Amino acid sequence: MSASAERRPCLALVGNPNAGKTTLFNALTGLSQHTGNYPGVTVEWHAGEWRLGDGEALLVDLPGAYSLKPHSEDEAVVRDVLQGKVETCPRPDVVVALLDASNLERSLYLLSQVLELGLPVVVALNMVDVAASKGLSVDAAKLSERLCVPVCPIRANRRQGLAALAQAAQAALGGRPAPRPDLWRQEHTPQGDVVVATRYAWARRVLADVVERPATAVVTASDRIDRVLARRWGLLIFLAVVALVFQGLFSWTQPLSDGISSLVGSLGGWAGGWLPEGALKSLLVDGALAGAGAVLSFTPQIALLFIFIAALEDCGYMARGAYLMDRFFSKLGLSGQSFIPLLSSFACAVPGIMATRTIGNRRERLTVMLVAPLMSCSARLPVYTVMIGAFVPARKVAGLLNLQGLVLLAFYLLGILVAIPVSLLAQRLLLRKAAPTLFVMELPSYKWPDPRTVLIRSWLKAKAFVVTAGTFIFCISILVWGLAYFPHPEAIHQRYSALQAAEPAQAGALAAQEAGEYLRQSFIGRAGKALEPAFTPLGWDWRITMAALASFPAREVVIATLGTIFNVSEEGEGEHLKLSESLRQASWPDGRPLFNLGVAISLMVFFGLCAQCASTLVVLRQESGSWAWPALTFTYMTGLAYACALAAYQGSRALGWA
Amino acid sequence: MEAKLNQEISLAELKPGIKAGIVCMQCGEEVSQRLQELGFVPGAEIEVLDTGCPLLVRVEDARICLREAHAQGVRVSPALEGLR
Repeated sequence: MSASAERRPCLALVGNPNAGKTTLFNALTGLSQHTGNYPGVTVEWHAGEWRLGDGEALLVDLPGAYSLKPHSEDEAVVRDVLQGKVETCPRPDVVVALLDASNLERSLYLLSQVLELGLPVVVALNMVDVAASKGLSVDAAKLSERLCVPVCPIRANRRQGLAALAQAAQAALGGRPAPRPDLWRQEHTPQGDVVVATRYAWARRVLADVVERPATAVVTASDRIDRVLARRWGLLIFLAVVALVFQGLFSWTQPLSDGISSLVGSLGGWAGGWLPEGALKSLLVDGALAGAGAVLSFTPQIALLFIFIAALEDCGYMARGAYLMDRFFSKLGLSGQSFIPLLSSFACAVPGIMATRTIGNRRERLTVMLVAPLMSCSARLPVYTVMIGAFVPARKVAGLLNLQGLVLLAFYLLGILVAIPVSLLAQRLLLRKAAPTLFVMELPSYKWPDPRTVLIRSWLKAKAFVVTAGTFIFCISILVWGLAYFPHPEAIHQRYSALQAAEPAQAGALAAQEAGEYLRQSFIGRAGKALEPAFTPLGWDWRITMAALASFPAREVVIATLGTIFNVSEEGEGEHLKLSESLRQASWPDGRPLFNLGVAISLMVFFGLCAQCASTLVVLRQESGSWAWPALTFTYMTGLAYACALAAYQGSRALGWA
Repeated sequence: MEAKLNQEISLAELKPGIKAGIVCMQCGEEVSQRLQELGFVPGAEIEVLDTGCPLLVRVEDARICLREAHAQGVRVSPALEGLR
């Protein structure tokens, strides 16, 4: 974002949403682009190098806008950058205005505002092929003559016409500002509706015999596809596509995630082999490597999610999804645009919250951010799997449904059901004054997704995920490691060494007991003991309490912590099975079994609703612009988790399950 | 289908497949401004593609969905079809 000493020329790319702006930007800059946020707002910044002749220029991709009179943060950024009011961005020397040939009148509305900026303007005329499919033909030369600015016909997805565009842009650098449109006949500037009408009238004057249109509007291929995809069966088809995407997300990435986990595991084994016993070894193997492994094993799934979303967005289907889902979300005070962020949150709340950037309305966006972490993310799945596997009988219900599967489904529904009152309450109590969502959305023509755009877009997002969430999960893993390792008195080790020497056959079991012993006397173990009374009404003893506390930074940690605290030895396969067995055998000091169905349910309810994810809170801070939102999210989710787990356990007792 | 000629109705009442012309906006300034920027300007040709909420319409060359509440503020006249 910094302007170098000898200033490179800066160009800005402006256009309507869905005009192919991202495709053009990617075609011009490739992977040289950098992303970030504009200062103070949550709008993404995209800029990249554009080769112009022998030199290089900075090309800034501004968010899609219908108008420079801002209705959203996005549009305010477009106006501010073009007027040179954003500190971190140099005022553009030239504006490249992207016009959608299939929707020229509206494109010219925005252009009329761009021409008033007093900057040189080059017009890129895109979507000529889509226009042709609508029966429209556009005379680019005549348009250029009328506007007195160069007009370059391009096909961004085919990378056609880009050389001519670069030439025109280079020529415009240092050239004269574009002539202002001849809009006003009066001296004073009219306001409101009249302005819009005047601009459209100008657009029509300019376009007279520039665009030839058929006498009646053509029914396009895109319209015919919509008769199937956006009508009666459309909702079912959309949900089927979503189900397929999620199926792919979980099944295709599993081998890769497992591969990464085992690679990190063997790296740990290898490092453990030559590192001397002690705190350093434990820090590197159990802290740093385990933390990095956790981040990396989630990455394939999240990267694939980004690819799916980018592909569905690029081909135009995502807008149909929002349209179809709106009838449900409107009842919650939200709109169809909330669907994808919430859906993504079933994989991970971090990309889900990042995806709320597409929601223009602030009230809706903040509400979705608040409930996204309630969706059952993939890190909750291991907890459910272990608990259900150990305590829910594998019985058939009604002849064909598996009881274990039904319970799992119930926990997925739990988050959704809780999200409904939370989002209604948040809007009623906290966001009363914010303007409600204005759901007016364009459905762009369908097109084949451009692989380049899809890959670049998802690559940048996946990178952002690894950097933001990754750094955080990593640091927190090390912190939790410290709390679970120290004070680490030598006496325990000496005692177990003596025992092992006496009974070499029991070495494995003794090593597991030693690890458990160390965890019990660690800081986090002591905290678990201190807090036990608060969690006894939930059916938990201090060990479960401790495992839950250790999982606040990242909930997936719980499985490993339970394994250590219940002395599961690490040898051999089938870790989950062994854990289930140990959990079933665990008991209270008086000999009663510790776990039963009621305790399992209360633990799952707690994990289902609690804000046990530091990365989510950091991303919430980043995306909402203040700490208030993550603080609120943490408080309400933790309170709700405790209350619901309490109710679940006491209810189970009343039903005789505990 | 009995929308009479010269009669001004709201977009929410327009039957699918009937082409009409937009007459004016009778909704709040914010909504009206946004709709106009998307192409809902007086004289523009409009057609309902699918009813229900949200409504799917064609405005000139764009396909746009909007909620019924907002569609009620868009006044259209079937007689203005092909005005331009």
